[in-house]
Amino acid sequence: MEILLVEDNPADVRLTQEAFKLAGRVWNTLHIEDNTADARLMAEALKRDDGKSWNKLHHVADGVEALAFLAGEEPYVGAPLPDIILLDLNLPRKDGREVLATIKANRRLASIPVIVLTTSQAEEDVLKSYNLHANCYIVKPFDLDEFTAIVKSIEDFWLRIVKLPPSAGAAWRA
Amino acid sequence: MRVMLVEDSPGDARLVEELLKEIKTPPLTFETVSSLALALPRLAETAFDVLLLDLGLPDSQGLETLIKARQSAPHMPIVVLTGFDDEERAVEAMQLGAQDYLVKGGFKTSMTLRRAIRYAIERSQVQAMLRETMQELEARTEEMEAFTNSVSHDLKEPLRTIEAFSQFLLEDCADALDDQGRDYLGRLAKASARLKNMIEELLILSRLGKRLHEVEKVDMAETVAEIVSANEFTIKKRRAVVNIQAGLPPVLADQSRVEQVFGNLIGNALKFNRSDRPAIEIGCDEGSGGFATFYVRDNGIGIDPAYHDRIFGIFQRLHVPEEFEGTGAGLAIVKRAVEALGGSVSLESGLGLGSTFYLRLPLWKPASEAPLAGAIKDAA
Amino acid sequence: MNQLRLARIFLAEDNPDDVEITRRALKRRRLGCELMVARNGEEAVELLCRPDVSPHLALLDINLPRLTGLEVLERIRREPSCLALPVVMLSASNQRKDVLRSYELGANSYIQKPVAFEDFVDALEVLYKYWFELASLPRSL
Repeated sequence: MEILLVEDNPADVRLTQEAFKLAGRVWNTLHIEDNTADARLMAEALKRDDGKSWNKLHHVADGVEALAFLAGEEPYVGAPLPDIILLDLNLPRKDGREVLATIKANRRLASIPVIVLTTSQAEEDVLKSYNLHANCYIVKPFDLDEFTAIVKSIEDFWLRIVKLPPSAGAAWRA
Repeated sequence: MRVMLVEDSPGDARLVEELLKEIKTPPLTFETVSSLALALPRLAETAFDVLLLDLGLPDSQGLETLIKARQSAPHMPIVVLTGFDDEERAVEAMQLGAQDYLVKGGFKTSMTLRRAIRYAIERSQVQAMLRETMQELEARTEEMEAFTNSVSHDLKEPLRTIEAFSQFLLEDCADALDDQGRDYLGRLAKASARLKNMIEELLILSRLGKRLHEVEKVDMAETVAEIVSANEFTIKKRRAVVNIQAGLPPVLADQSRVEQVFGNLIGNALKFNRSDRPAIEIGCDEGSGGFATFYVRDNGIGIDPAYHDRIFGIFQRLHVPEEFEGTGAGLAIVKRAVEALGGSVSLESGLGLGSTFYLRLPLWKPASEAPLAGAIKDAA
Repeated sequence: MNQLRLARIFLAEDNPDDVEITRRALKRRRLGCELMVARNGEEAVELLCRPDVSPHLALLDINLPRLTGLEVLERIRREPSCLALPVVMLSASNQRKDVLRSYELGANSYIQKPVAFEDFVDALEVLYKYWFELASLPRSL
């Protein structure tokens, strides 16, 4: 969206610019997480102060569902390709590491940024994830407030500062 | 000259053939087939100069016949032959790409037929020339725009340096500078900020003329509401009242261009306003011919009629920077965008009397009418 | 997160003005780091793959002489020592093809260099805090 902001006060310009960089389009986020509490936390954390959200959050609870979602198979027919994927490593049915490898080996999916968001602090998990082309690795904190803060930082970096790959499924905010 | 006659009634065919035989100049040969199915492969094999096409054929009815013929031989001049009470359809045929029509039994001399044939061929040639010219124009415009885009982009680099280093100077050498020195640096900073805006607007403009991407149904009610809510911060700050007329009709356009246009106009309406209670009204008047006229009305400072033409030019500003900031490209962007959509913009305003910008935009029509619309577009 | 060592940031940038601007931007917000600079694509590939260089994060401009930033990325990703290296493209270009290709070749993120210095300072701060204080790096500090 290109909108010309006509505003002389630089502080106000900045404020509106910030609001704008996030507004105007719906970012589709796929959260792959088996822990229901963490999934809910994510949904809460992504809400703006006024209750709305920059993000259309999609959630699946295991590795098999994750790949089905990304392939647009039943019951996810017509699901949009996410702009960003948040991936837990320890998943039932199909391990997160396998999911990561599959995504990054698939031409259609490989350019989608995958952020590994998991409890493991083990160095070998970190290294392995980056070797599998994860875009980033973040350790999930146990603390509620810390978690919210981290999610906000993720949003700030990936949606405001970073240029995401052009998405075929870019939807404008309805 | 090679003429193809597609006519299923042998009697009608013979009549036309007799007239064709009478034509000595230009010397011509003709071929008669009795159906479209027979005609199309012949047209594909050999080059004919003109097609005389009966609209009432056994394997295809009326205008469909014409559309099919146009599809297989898009640049072939066509003279349509219709029955007595069928003139309406004949006129429609012209809109769909036939060059001329003749009412069967309504022409008795070969002269009329010859004139129709000649006219059809010439008209078709002119259309071909027009198409070529338009293509060239489009190519040139695209070139210009790519150039502007590329240059604007390149300009950003040294600009970044100027902007950053003037700031560094201010930070590091403020003590070593006297008031004048600091003043000069300040002016440098302001100028580079203006330059940055101008470049960004050049970039926007350069992208505007490009072939429309998805021309689709744009929900105006929703789009305008979105833009207004995006400007919420400024609206609240200025204590402005914005009224959007209910039931704004959808338009056939490119979503981002529409957002651009209304974003600009609403932004301007808020900015060029000194009233305690700025009021903006957005609505739509009845349109005609498939277009609707939207308007953005404000109670702002207004524009002197003497400048009404000028203000749509790029970088035209009516105010000194101290009065109102801005590069003056906003309205150029509006005009360009609206025209790219096939519409037009006009202005009603006077100094101190507020302004109303009128935007004529094509209405979106539901799918049932689409095939004809598509065919009309192809006929061009 | 404890910073045992200074963050080592590798910058591939041919324009000396932009290098100076980056240095100042980092200094402005007191983002402590050791900045290593390569002035062209070939130098970048050579340095990045050296075991004694091993930065924590690489910032690559796309418009580099000798080899473009994208070519640098392609080559280093073939080196086992650089496979896991977080790479952020930092480019003036906002062309879709550059952005897409960067991610396809394995860039971790892509940032378009803002024109205004203040915006650049802001972006670098967010970038620094995200990668060095929030994320876990393959090569820890």
